[in-house]
Amino acid sequence: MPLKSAVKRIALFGNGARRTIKGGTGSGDVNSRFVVNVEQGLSEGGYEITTKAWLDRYDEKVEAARAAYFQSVRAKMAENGMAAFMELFNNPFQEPSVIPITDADIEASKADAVIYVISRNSGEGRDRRPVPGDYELFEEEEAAIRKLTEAYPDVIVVLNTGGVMDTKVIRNMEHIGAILLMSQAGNIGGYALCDVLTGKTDPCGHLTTTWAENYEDYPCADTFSYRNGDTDDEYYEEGIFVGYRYFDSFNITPAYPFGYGSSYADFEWKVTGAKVEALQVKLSVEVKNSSSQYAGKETIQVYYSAPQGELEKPYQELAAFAKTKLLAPGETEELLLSYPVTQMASYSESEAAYVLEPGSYYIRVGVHSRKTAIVAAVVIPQKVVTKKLENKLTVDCDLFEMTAIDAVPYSYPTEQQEKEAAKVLSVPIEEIVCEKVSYQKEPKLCTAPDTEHKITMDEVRNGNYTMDELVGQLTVEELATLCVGTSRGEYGGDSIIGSASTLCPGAAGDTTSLMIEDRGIKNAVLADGPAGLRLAATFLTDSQDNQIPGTGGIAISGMEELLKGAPKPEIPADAKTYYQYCTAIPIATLLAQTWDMDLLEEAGDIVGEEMKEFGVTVWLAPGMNIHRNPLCGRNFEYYSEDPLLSGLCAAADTRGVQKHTGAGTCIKHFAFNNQEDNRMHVNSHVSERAAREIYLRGFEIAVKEAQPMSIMSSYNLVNGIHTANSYDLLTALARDEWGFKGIVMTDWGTTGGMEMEQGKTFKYGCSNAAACIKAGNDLIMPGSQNDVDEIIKSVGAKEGEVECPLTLEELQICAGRILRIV
Amino acid sequence: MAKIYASSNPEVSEREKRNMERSRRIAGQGMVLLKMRGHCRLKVQ
Repeated sequence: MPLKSAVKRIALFGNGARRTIKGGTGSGDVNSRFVVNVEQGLSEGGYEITTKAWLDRYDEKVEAARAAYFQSVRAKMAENGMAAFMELFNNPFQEPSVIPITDADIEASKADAVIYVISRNSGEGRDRRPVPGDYELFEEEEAAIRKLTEAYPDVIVVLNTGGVMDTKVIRNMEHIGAILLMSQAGNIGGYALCDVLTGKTDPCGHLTTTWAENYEDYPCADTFSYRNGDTDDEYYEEGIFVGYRYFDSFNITPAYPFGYGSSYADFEWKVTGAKVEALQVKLSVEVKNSSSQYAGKETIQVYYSAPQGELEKPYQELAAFAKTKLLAPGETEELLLSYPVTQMASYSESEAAYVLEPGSYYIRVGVHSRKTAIVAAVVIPQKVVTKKLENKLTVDCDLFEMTAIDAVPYSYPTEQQEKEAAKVLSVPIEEIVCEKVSYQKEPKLCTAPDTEHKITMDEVRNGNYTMDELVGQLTVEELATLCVGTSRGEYGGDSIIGSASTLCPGAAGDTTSLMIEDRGIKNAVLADGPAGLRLAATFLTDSQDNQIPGTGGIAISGMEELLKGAPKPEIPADAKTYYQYCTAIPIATLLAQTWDMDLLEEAGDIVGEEMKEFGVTVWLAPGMNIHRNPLCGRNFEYYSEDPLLSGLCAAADTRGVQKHTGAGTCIKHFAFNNQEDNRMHVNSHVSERAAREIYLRGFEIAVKEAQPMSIMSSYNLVNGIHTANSYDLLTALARDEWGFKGIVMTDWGTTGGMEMEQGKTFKYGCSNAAACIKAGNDLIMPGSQNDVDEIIKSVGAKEGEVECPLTLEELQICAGRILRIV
Repeated sequence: MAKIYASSNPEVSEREKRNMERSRRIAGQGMVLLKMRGHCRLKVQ
């Protein structure tokens, strides 16, 4: 690769060749107008596909399996409609194994190049399995690829997967010419792949997560999620040793390390400057494209290794990165990289503070985590407290965290020499000002001004009244209505739109429309992501533009198939059809793999433009949970195993969306939602240090850098408390420590009524609506009458009368925050 | 009366075409070349 111009005919095989996955399943599935698969992308690129007969035969097998799947779901639907719906959501149709490649197929395939596309799908509600057909290759896939390598000297294997999969088998085969991680590239995936195969685009991505040699190499491989048979309690025993922090500290060699990525071009780099200035570590790196034929881009990555002290440190941590422009053969670019010295501090639970422990902080520069050289040593002469906080997430059990004290970390032959030769950079530590945080007290009461007049939003905007005065006029019922989404029926049913200011079918929810007439409080429309804007592709209205019920409902893949033969809504002759086709952009992991924050921002810009076109206020994205384990069913919706990279990606994505006035992001799922099995009721036990350094840090960066319009609390509990009910997480950390100004909303159904596993009881129950308000979780989605009632009865109630007594002030402050975004 | 932002035109819009082109340009740059043999014959000589 790239394919040379003599290549005209391509033998194309594999389950992803025609049935290419554009993005995973669940609420992340965007309803694009069409999906360009690999076959189409190559055909339109001018190549003749010689294997249509094989692809047709595989299609027949899939269609038969699909029919059988829907037959079983329909049988369930006859017993319990909700269960069938959840089945579709939690256990969507999985494609069967591939068909064999026969001698006749090989004979008929005669081509100038051969490509085998392996696809893997996953989605919310279910974690992946380390078994053939999922994390591993199907036996039939292995046999098929082996057969191709016997017939062709250079087989190109394309991985159309969102998450990690086992690559041992194919890496160890002879005659594999190339392995390309296509990832899941959105609805134009086939075109984008063709661009890369032909060299029109240099595949300049780098991994954002460690690809291990074996699944068992990941920490907590045997206890993650369902693996130990217990999905009630999840113990984060690996602590801060997540991803490469683990692989490097314990010297486990991965298949492909964090940050790895090859290119058609070749690059040389050298550090031309390293200094500490204004408490920033500053590096200049000269990168040269040393290839003679190909243009390309390289990503320079900076890591630091903190000294061991009272706190254990991982072998290295990502500190900064930068990508070159497209460099022509022979062209050079100087990159400037910098980051604050205080970014290297660690969280000490005993001091409730971030501290820089004394010693040498080695600065490593290179092109991936296992290909760096030490260029400098930043020396901290004595301990410095950089930020004084309070412990807020104390672990609720005896958690035995692993230690790397006795482990021999990764090293390489010249490492010691480099350390000795490293340029010493001293830091004027007396200039480091310790940050302090003041945690807020009780909210103050909003009182109504002395007027009978109903204050409107326009009057607040014009400065005639303050927002507090408007809030002070609202009754408890009105306040509660504002703080609960409009759904009052069963999930999946039609949401009560009422006289909504905006009609946007397929959106995941909206806020109340009941105060539009008298106060001008518009409804905020909330729509899913993150791989684009998820709306109903089409819907119908009558001639008066009233939506016809049953058209344009929430679109779940397979629903149409399931509802075949169900009674259709009556469509008047003069009905009008409306279209809401959105761009299915690449999945978050692919976006992160660009390591190019301008591209992340552009992806956000695409979505922001479409939000304005369709009247959407909040995009329920980006997702930014940490890739703690490769089996998490939703990893494709998240960026990385590294919090710095995740946080910067979310910030860039948010900037892109929020440059469109009135459109905002919702960073999610806050936090510790690192598995899908029993996601609504799992209690994540995690130390405060690991919580802050690994799982929360990305959110902190996104808030500080881009001030997203909203945050979505997660389904799960952290250290015994539902995140939606955690004042410490939502208010003390997000607002007081980080300065978050927007609203917090729940994930859909965390207060109950939307059980994923019907009829099952759980060790840990649901969150409580009133406790959401008390915690500063302003908005409860999608909302229910129970939520409204619970809040109303809790205001002014005494201890013991309700689950969570509330003051009026606590409800007012949540409602006020919602009014500031609608 | 709720405002309808959706389009009543079934044709592919200019915005769709433009954003798909942008998405296409982004997508290729996030694909990762994991392995390429030096002597891979598909490489342009």
